[in-house]
Amino acid sequence: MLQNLQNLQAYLCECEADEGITTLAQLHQDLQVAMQLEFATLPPYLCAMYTINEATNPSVYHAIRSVVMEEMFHLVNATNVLLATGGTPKVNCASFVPTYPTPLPNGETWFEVSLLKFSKSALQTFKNIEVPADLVDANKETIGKFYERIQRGMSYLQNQLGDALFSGDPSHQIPAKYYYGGGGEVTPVTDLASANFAINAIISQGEGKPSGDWDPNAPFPLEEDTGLVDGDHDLFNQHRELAHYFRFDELDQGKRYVCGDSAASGPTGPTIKIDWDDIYNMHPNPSKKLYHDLPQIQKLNREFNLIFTRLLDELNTAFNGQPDNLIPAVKTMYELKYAAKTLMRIPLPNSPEGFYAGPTWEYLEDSQ
Amino acid sequence: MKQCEHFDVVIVGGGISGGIMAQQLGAEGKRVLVLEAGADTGKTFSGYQKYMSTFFTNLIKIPNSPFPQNLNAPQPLVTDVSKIAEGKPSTNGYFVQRGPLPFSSTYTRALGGTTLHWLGTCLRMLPEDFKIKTHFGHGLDWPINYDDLKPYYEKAEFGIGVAGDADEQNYHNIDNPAVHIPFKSDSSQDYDYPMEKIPQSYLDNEMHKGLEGMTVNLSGKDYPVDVVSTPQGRNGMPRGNFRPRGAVGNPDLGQRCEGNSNCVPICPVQAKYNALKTLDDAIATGNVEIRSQSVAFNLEVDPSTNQISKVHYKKYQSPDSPDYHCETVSGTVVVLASHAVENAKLMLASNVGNSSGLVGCNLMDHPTMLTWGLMPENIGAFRGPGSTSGIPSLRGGEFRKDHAAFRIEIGNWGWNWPTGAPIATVPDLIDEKNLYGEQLKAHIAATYPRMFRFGFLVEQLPSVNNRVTIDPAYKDRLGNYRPVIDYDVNDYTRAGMAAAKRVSDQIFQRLGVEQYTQYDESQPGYVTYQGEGYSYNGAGHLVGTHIMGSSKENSVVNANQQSWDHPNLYLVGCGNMPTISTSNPTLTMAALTYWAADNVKKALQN
Repeated sequence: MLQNLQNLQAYLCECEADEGITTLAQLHQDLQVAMQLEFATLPPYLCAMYTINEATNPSVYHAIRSVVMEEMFHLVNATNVLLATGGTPKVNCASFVPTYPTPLPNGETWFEVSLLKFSKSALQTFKNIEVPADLVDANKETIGKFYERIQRGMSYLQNQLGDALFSGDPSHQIPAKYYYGGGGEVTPVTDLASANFAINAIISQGEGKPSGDWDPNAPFPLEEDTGLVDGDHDLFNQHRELAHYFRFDELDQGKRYVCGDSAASGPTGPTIKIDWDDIYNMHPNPSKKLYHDLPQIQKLNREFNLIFTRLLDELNTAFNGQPDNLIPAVKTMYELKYAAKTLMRIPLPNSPEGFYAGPTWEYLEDSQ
Repeated sequence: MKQCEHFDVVIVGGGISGGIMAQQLGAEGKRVLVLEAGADTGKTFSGYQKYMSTFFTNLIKIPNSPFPQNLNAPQPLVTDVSKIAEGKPSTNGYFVQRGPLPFSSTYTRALGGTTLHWLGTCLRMLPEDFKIKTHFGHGLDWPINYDDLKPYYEKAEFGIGVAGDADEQNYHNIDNPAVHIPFKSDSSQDYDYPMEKIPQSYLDNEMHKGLEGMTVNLSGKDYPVDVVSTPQGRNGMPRGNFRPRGAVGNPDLGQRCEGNSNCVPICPVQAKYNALKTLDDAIATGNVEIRSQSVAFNLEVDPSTNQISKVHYKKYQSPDSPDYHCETVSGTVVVLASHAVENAKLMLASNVGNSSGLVGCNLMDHPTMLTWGLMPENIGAFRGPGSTSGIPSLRGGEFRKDHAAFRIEIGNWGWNWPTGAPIATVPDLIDEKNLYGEQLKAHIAATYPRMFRFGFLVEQLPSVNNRVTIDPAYKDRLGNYRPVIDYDVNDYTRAGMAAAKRVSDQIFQRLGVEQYTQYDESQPGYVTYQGEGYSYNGAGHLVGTHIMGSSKENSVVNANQQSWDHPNLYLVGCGNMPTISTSNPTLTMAALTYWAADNVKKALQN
């Protein structure tokens, strides 16, 4: 496990320089890093989401929510491949969670990801996280390469070890029934083909696989009535299949992509009503330091972190042989939401910017 | 003269039975028109969210609170229900109630129908329920039996998306053979529900432990009191290849129940089944058109063939305006799916299908008697779906010769139903008891999590005197008839309530529940039996206004759900059920509708 995502850039460079994955231990290491990468996107999305008033900004809420759900799907896919190849996932430790701001790759370059309230700059960050590989130079594309390296490593090890590569107990994997509420479906990983399928699902849905013949003028696969609502335009009418980047781009531009629109044209559809003022003004990157003389907020933040810690503990058991532990974990996810919202509704004293509190997302090693 | 538009099938009513019928026939390539009297607000996700806003801002959280009253297609409200003075009908709401007792159940007139606010309970009937006249000498026998309906129950459970475990729902572990329901048969050895059961609440599990081994005596015989999970039209963990269907227009949402504890009146994420989902599937066939704000008011008969030749409806542009114009359509087959009361009303207004004189008769409900109290310990009240378990062991048995059977529903929402807690009761603590601050918090924390209630769904027998009629003196804004209702609760049911109260008292005593149940004469549903008073509420289970039977003299439709009088007229909905027994009727009604759809398919082939 990486001690810190700060080291990821160096790690990925190393990966590019070395011979590729040649040992099972390396494969496990990289899949663990994949889990960490996928997880790292969740706190920024959730922070923005929880500063939104669901009733006044439903479009924004549902757009971010849909992406959050798919990031969790990626996390589960990486976990299942790790489990299938006999690895031992570890998510309940302080080093699993980055300290924000943290660097993340956006394909071509590295940028800082901060915990922000929903805002234009948060949207810019989200677009950076989700920028399709097609929009950057394929030679410099990093994350896609990282996953392709995993796939090449699996092929190599399959040649070396044969079917023994997939020695993990299949009953330890997270089955489809536990994942819902977002695009994609969890599929069991039992051999090289199914492992590649799971990894491909991550690449194509999230990071975007360079296709070579991608045409920025090609219209999106949207249907006639997608994105249009009679009378009011505040929400979508039909199910939408836009990639994450474009879901955020719609919010950024304040318009829907409709049938006929392409990446080059940008969205030309109905206006999206966004109430930029009805957002809780969470302090950027809340940290313990921020609350050093505010014992009551400290207490609430500790309560949040205790729930967060419990969630990671539950996930860890779920990922290590007891998938049904995801049932209490879902309840804990809701508790986390309420605890985050509680903090975000408390104004910080003596804040000229009128900032509000926010959670610090720390795994507490001393929670017992 | 304007030409009359023709369809293979014209369906009156866009609720669950109309939706199933439209989806089934649309999938066969039939051209289908659905006429919906109410608005179609819920057909888009944003429209459904408007229902949520209406619910949030409504001060009274009754079952129809998210669904605005529409004077062009009015709906009954529980707040309309009042005591009825002799000879002076109560005309407070949409219903004209002549009594002697008030009919307390309501329904929703909007696209999606009453499934918008139902709880989602999906129980099958017991095999003995189909023949209570033969077994117990009361009520009526059905012209079909459990085995006939069984394959359609399976279709309905998949169509709705029911979460449950067949191994529990067959009741085979209950030491009362009368309630055993065979799920397996030669044709389906390994049948199970499409989704695993919804987890039972903490209260359910505590009650299960507390009542283990308990028996009660009914008519001289001991019966077990067993807590069993309730099958529900609510998304849970799927089995096999089944995929839970999420919200209409936002399918990622609502793939699982989130425990919002708001099933009635409206599930915020549509994890609870509503008919908008089936209607959406119907539209996806490409053969189904839905016309909302279109109130059918007259069925015309071709005297030479006795077929329903035309359906006349009033199309209004806005629920806010009384303006409308008349339209006419025709269908090779006409299906009435507009609800038990509305179907009867339309037939009476058109004077069709009533050679038996039974249209509108045999109106039934589950008079629901509540008992409530405080548990000795915190049982986590006000969490989860409205009910996740019940006590089904007294649904059947020899005692039905003497009094009504009943199912006991275990409520998860404290005293919400009997007292309106917490929304309606907390203000009282402040205004009347002068509680505030820490004291108020301490009081709420000490009592509310211990609040507990049972609902006893007592069976009611069919009676020609409990009926829906029409009267030219009572019409709505569009000039359509308002339902006039005569209703009473007879001694068979009252004796069932008395037996239920005895069972409740024994359970309360065993569990140490502090009794708060109170029945008094001021309650509209107050009745007496052998000198004791009891109160009932409406269950929202409106059954039996156009019952099926074995002959055109004793019923309105035959076993095929077809009118005895008009060969191209089919009726669907709970109105077809000759008896109500103890199961919430929606699943049985859905099963009958799949059956009826098969019969319409056959009829259209010929």
